[in-house]
Amino acid sequence: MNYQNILKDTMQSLLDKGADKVSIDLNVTTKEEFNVVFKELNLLRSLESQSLSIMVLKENKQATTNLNQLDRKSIETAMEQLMSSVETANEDPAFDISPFHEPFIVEKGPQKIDSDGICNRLNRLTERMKDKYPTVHYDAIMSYINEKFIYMNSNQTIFEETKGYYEFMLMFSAKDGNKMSSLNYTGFSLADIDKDLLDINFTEQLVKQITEQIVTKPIPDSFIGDIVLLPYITGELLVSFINSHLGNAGILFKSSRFPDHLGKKIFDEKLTVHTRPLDPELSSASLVTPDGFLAENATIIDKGVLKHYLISLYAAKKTGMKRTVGPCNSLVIEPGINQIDDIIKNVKKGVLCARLSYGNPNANGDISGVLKNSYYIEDGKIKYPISETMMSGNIVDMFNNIEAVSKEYVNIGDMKIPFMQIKDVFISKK
Amino acid sequence: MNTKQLKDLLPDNNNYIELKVQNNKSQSMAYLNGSLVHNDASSSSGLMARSFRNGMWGVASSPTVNKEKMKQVIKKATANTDYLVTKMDKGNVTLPSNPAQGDYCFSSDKPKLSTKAKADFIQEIDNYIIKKYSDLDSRYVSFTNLEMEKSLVTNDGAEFNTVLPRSVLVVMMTTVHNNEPIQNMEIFGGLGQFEEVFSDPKDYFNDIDKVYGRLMEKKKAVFAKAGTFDCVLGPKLAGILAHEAIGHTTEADIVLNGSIAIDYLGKQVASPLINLLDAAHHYQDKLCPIPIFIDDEGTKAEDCLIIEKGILKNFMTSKETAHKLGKKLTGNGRSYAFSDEPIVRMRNTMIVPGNDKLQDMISSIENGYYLIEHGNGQADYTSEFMFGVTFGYEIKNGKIADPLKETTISGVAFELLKTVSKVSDDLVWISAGMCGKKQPIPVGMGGPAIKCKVNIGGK
Repeated sequence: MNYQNILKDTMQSLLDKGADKVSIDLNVTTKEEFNVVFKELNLLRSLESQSLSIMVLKENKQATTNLNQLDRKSIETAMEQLMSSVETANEDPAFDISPFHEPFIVEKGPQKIDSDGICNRLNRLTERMKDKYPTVHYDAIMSYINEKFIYMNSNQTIFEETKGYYEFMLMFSAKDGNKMSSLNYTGFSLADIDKDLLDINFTEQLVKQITEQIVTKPIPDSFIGDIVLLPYITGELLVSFINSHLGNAGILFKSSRFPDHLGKKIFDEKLTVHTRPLDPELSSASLVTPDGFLAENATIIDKGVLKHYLISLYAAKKTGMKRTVGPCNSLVIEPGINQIDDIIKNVKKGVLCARLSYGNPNANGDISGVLKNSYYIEDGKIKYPISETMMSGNIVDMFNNIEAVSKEYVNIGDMKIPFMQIKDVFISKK
Repeated sequence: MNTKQLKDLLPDNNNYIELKVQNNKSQSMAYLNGSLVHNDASSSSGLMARSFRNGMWGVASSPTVNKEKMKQVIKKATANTDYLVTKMDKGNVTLPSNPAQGDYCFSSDKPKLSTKAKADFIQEIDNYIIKKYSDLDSRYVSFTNLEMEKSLVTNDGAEFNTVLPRSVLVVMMTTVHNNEPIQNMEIFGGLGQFEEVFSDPKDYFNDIDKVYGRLMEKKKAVFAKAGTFDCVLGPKLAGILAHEAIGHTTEADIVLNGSIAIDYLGKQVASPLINLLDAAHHYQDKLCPIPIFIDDEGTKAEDCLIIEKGILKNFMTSKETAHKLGKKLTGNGRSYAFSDEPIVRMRNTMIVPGNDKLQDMISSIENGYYLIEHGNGQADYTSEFMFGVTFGYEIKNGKIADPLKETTISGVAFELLKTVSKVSDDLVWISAGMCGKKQPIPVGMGGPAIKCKVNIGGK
């Protein structure tokens, strides 16, 4: 099937039907997903999917549709409905499509699955788990994904990106008699499968920790101290903050704490955040932004100073702000100079947080949550796994109170994230 | 393709086989500050085959719906099972079976409204907000409809067609107070297409006034104090507690993965006032928000009474998990997209109402909290939970006092439920819930208000 021709024909039909501008993208994905369930290989899924998204603009009105059928009749029906929908919309001169860009075609990652390789990796995982961690219950999924993404618009822009990569997910808990740990999980994307899964991104350390977390106890008392965040938590909090305050949602909903802060220091100078879609080590990074531009490398927060808002073309035109990097992802937090062991040695009283069960921070950035799979630290030593302990603070204050950033980091396929030590966080016992 | 055509394609081999054709249709419109920023109609359809032999499952799916493709997909699913059996042979396994047949379609008989008519409905609500509350810094009104249409046959005798639509209206308001943004939102709607669920925008004006009223109250909100307090959890919080903290621990796949619930079966896990039910389709002769008559494995869906008078009685099961645990089939195997395999999911999980009055429950607390609206929630295999609380009040000397800033509550659900001393006599459903566990799935959650001891993560 010639996908580019389908897109070109669809775009031309919409222009013929009266659309002023059209943008259209197609995602065609195949996935082979191997599932380990209840500690054993259990399920193999072969999935084909396709998704055609179309946006039309007519007299500054907008409508969109998404369908997964590419036959002529289905597309024709969708186009009729789309042109009817756009008539009912209201005018907004901020609606637009990205400008002309030279055609860009790229292919990255493995283009063929290694099924036996996946089975070998999963068998190796189950063997090592059985030998070393018999009390651990787990499910694991390893997939090979091949995605073709084509973006096209009526300004003659054409982007085509084909990427192949592997994806791994592990969910685990430990149980001994009637004592059990909390649940933990990890996951990442990979360009190849030449390493044992437990040896990537501190996965074995997390599994080992879960066996220790069968027996937990409360912290001695509530205190204000340091929290050392494992990379996954740092990444989650940062992405949550960026989406809420530096992206479309915060700017359009006027709920951003930093609506007019370009060039201003908003965070601790130890925090530098880049977007690096072109980093070859980020196996699942996307090279096209959701608003139809080629993604580019940039520094978003430089030593605490805000350099870019991550807003779309629409949000930029709506607010009069300038679109720069767009609603990008592929975030890389600049690693620090300290080893994680040395960071922990530097904590007088605090917690090592491997998972945080938290409510979405409110519009002001206030956040509180339960410290899961976490440890009490005193005088530079990890003492014991903790239970029923909460943290509360403000996400903006937290990123302004960074004590240290680790040299070590994890690469989860679309982000690179180090450990982070944050001071002056309220830690409370039940 | 209909069930008759699917049945004709069922292969004659020793594998257990399911064939499914599904179309998920959605429509959504969103107005931000009066501007239609989202105007979308989408669909995702396709077919899936699932095969089982010797303890191994094979699944294959395709968005192309025709007879030839279905034959290919069946072949691929069977080949996937065979491939896994070469890697590990678990021996002969016979899955339990309670097949059902029927058509359960909840489409509206009313004339279909145009996209313009729906847009006018939302705009009238938006106009009401801006005319009456011009001091808002931002307002957002959206409508979303999701309609899941499925046909399924299995070679153990199940056969069904279903259409399950849900329509939801969201109203969110933002104000900036002392340079800090404050938000409040409410969700309306439930089972049915737009035409069935929404009739006159004016029906919602009173509720919108409440959304604004609470937003203004949040300006003078105070921090909750950290610690354990006597609290009344409103019905929405009781519903999410039932779903997240108890429901998930009693899903049979989670039980097999080491959930604490396996150790509690037949034991007292809650106050004798607590009955907790995952209703299949009706509660007290009324249709639930997500009525499931036959699950996506073709099993007859039956109510699962999880806790009865405080004692843990049952787990929710699928075919494989019922086999592994030696439990009866409850019909909780559900899948979201055409390409998804069924896994154990809840349907309409609720704490059963009691005999107390909400006002008496509040009056009985000297120093505590009345917690009303929830944000997101998470729970663990241990039943340890955390929920965001987005609106509530202090209770002082038996009376409602200051409103609360957003906070979180946490604890161990099986411990919390032992402290329940009162259960109100009303039932409120959360009809717009979406549960995430490998796949998303629409669920119903509900409850009365409960009085209990709760750990609050305030200041």
